[in-house]
Amino acid sequence: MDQKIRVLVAKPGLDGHDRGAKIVARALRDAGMEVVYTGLHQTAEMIVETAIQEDVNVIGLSLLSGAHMTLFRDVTKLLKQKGLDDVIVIGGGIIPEEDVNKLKEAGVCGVFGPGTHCDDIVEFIRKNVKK
Amino acid sequence: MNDIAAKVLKGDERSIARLITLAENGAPQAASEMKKIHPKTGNAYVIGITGVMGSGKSTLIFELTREYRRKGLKVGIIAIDPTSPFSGGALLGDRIRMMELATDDGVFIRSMGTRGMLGGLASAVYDVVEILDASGKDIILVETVGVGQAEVDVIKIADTTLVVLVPGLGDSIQTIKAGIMEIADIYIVNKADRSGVEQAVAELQSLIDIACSGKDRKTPVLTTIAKENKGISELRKEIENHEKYLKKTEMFDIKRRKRYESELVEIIRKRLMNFIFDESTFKEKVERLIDQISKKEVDPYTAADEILGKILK
Amino acid sequence: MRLIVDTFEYGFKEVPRWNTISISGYHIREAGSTAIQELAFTLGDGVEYVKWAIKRGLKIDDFAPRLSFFFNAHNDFFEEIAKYRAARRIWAQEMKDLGAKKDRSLYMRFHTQTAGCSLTAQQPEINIARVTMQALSAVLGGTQSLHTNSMDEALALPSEKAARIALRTQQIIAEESGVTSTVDPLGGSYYIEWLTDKMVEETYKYFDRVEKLGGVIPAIEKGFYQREIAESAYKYQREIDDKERFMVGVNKYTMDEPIEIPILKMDEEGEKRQINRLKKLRKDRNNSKVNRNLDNLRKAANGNENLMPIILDCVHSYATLGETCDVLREVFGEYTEPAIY
Repeated sequence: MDQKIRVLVAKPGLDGHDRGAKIVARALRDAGMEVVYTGLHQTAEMIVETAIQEDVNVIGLSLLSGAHMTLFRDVTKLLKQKGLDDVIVIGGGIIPEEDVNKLKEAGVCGVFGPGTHCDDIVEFIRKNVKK
Repeated sequence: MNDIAAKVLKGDERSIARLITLAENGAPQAASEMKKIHPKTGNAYVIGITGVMGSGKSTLIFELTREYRRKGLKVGIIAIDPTSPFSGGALLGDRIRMMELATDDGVFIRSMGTRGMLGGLASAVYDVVEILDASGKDIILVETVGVGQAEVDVIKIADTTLVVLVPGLGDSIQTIKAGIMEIADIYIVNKADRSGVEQAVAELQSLIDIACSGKDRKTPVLTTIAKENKGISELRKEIENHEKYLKKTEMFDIKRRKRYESELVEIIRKRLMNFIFDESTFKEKVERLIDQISKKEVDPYTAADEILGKILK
Repeated sequence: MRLIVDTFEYGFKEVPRWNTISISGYHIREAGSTAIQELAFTLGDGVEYVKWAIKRGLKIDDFAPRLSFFFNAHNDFFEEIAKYRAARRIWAQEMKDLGAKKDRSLYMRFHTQTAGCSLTAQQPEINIARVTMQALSAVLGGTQSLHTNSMDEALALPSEKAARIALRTQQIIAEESGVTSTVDPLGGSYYIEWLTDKMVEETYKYFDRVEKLGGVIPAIEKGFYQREIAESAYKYQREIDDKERFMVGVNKYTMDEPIEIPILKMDEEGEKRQINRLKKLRKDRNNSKVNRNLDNLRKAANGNENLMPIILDCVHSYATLGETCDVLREVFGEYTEPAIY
């Protein structure tokens, strides 16, 4: 069996800072994962639809513009609606400590802010993927 | 999970995606599901697209898909990117240019890594084509890795193969060696608003005149400006012409037969390799033989005889 | 390119004291490029703009004096100072080569912002020290104007207090340190001069590489810039992950302490307020005038005339930014960059 972890890396909303997202995508690739990178300006619908078609294990959301409470929760809500409970959602960017818990309650299972070591993200994914 | 094939036939997206994953991973239940859907395949027309990076392949596919959608056809897109030989991972970025199609439910896009296959395709691509076919897609576009001259396997799977070139990309047509140039059913010179387009078309035409002399079809050369949606409906018509040409002669059936042959070869190859190198009981014997080859106690041919002998018994 | 040359043309005729463009390297550096790449790509862009304007028939001495630049101020103190000096030298030479005769066409006037990407979420107060050094390098490098980042850069949008401290940082340099009393105070330093020469040399090597790729725009379309930047960004991150490069508070001198500075709270009502304002605007304005202007813009965009006066008509009649740009998007299409990591 040739099973690979498939990860969707997406930037929701209008935020154009993609340095981190690209670095994470590359680090995951170097860790043996298949990374579908959707680029900028994604809506929750586009992200979830892509996650379905690409049958990903993980959705990674990157946001630095302060809109994470709205946009990340849009994605987790839509995932729940569509019954995709075997996909885990992680996030990164500029996310204040006090918002992290609220995001976790909404279904984001890991938040990786500035200063994160790439290996930590890889390990977290490997430990937490379902299916 | 048991009725995944039935759901695929109804066009259920999650099932389509899941079955593709099972086929890609070589999961044990993939084969039984694929057996169920095979009788329902054969309707979709498969178009392969290859070309160097920077030629605008993805944008062309985007516009061509929108053209087919305007005609009311359902489209499946398979975008293939190279898997890293070092890490086994892949960066699948072709969807970026197609994200507007993400929410069109008449379009299904799947990104695949080559996972070790040379030739520009992924090993499971035959399965994916069948799955998309069986799920009701009328057109299937396969975008292959087109970095060099060896990535020509797309002809094994496509009814019509498009080769996309760009004027002034640094390589004049002559420097693009044989291989990728021989596989085209239609040439497309994209970004035709650039300088050098007439020269590129002329060079192509002279190559075609030589290559196609005596043949009953001369490979057409089209110019497009994909990002402005120019030349796209002409492309669709030219593809239809090629389809008519193939179906008028026996070429269509011959091509399809070649595709099934390649698919069968691939399935057998994978099974053999899995058996020899992954099946635990056999694997030990193989590992021991490889050690012996390293120590020059045994040569590779004798080792192969021994392995194959055991299998064929 | 058309829009940019339109701006040069319009600026020279109608708004002669307006700096028509801010040719930026800040974002290139933020995306992860090296200092040399920041120089080479920014100045390369600038030269390209000038060439296109000349091609349209504009006279270089007419528009060049109003070009301005925007650079990053990153951590390596001396490299940054040398970078600004190298930029001025290269720009003056390039403009001379393109036929500029007026002194003011050769001046490189630039704005600098301290590097957002160098600031940390951990122990955020120490960012004030980082910003101070970066600001000082920009001043010693001769910047015309300066933006200092706030210490909560990696945590949220700036709080008022943090923004104020960033401002005071500049004010201390300006009012108390005395460094602004001398032009190019580090000129003649053996190290700075050597470093400046080296950076000029390395930049020209990049210019050559871009030439070989067919020029700036073919290089962008081939993904050259994006690849160079992505490579540098990845290398930088790997160095940090592998502890070959240190970030105080992140992979050295780390502490587990709670954040004790005020963090800006996003105004949840802000979205609603803005939407209501927009609704009201759309009701109160003269919509037939707006539509007429947008139609004119569409026609003009399909033709060859300068779009600035027509865009201004749209603005004066209260067409929104979105409505105006949508017309341009309709006509020109939208660029999606290829996925390059």
